[in-house]
Amino acid sequence: MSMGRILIFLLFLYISVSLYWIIIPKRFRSLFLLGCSIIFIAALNLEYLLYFLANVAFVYGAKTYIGKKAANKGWVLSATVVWLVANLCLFKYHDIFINLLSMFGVKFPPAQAAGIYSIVLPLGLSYIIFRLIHYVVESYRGNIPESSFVDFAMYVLFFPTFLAGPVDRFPRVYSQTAQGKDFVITDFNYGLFRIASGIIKKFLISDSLAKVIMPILYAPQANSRPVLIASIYGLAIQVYLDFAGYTDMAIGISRLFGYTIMENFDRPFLKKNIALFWRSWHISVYSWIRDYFFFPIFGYKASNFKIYLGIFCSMMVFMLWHKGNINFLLLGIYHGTGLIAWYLFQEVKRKHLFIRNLFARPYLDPLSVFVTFNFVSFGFIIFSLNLHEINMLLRRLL
Amino acid sequence: MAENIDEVKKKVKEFIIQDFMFGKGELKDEELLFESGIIDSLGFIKLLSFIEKTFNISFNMSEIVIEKLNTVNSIVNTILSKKGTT
Repeated sequence: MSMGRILIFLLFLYISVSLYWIIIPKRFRSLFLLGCSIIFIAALNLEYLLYFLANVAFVYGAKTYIGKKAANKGWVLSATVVWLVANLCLFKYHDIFINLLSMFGVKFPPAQAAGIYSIVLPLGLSYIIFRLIHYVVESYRGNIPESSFVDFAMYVLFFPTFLAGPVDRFPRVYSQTAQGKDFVITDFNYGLFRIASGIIKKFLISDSLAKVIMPILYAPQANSRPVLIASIYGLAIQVYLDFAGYTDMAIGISRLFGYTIMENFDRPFLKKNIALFWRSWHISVYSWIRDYFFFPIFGYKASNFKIYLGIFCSMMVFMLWHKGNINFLLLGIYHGTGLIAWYLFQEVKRKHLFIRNLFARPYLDPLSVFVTFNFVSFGFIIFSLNLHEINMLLRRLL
Repeated sequence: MAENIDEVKKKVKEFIIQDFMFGKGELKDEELLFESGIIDSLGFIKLLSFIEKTFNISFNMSEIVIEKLNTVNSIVNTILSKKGTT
């Protein structure tokens, strides 16, 4: 992002926060924030804004219909979810579908005539779709409080969390809107602190680390094994700080407006096993996949096989949601297998007292953290390097 | 009615302590099972399965929501509600 854009954003933020607390009456603050979010998204791309607003209106219409307890509300819910998922898949994976179909002999017109190859993923689309699906599903379940279209649209398009989450839940956000908080200086200061933390994590530490680590990992033959291993650990920390930095800024900016948004990380590298790691990394999206993919599809009348299949598929969905390429496919297999292995080990511990007691010693906790950190760190190689680079790195290490 | 609640609570607590806490430790009625790390996603499914088999009730898909079964008390209330004894 250029310095000019950063300055414009800071000016926008300064004006919007000032107006929000000093001028705008409480009953209009949700509308004001929606207006700010619309301006923010329009500045990125006006076509995206129109597309998002159309989907927001569509989902609100579906929610209204469902709320009337119509006989076929289940079909409306299903159709809405299918529409939203199809939109996400179209934008994210259209090139994969085209390549696959081409392999089976399907001919496509030249790209410039079709225009289909020019589909660009709208920024923030995934997070928008997640919020929309959450809202319509919970409306069906009767868990959405009475609220206006403005409150709903503001929740979906809220500009601090628009680009990269966290994906908070509507009832939690709306309860804060409805509360109509007064300005609290400690809240504001905490927001500034989180913004500063995010800037330091992302722009100072993470970006600097990347400049040191990536050349080492790209040229493994020129470096010793200890340096490579240290770089792999550094890569894990760099990826964490990069993402956690964005989250800090999003949470901090939200707090400037008095909103407490859910956390996305909970000290993930200090967790004792892979299951705990995944409950503390990218929490908002992982919990979304748990609640709207794993439980509905695999959690109902679940056999052991179905549960383990669900865990594996959930991890595949989580990874392929990032990007639909071979790296993320492998990463999904890597972490899915790791999770299943962990849960199977838990079953063994349940059945055998000796093994349970053997692993229940507190002094093993640091070792558990170290093993988990290593497992996760080596996974980040798949995240960050292409297959050739991974191959070269592993050849050097082994 | 009070005995039903106590029996249900006893069975639920015994299951959670045995299966997720390896038979050790105490479990408070209002302890948040998921947030405290006692139960994870897999454990939640197993808990549902235990509840359905032990109390002869059936959850539908829209009821599989962690927030509604996150404490011993909320689990007991859900069971009694579905058995029509609240």
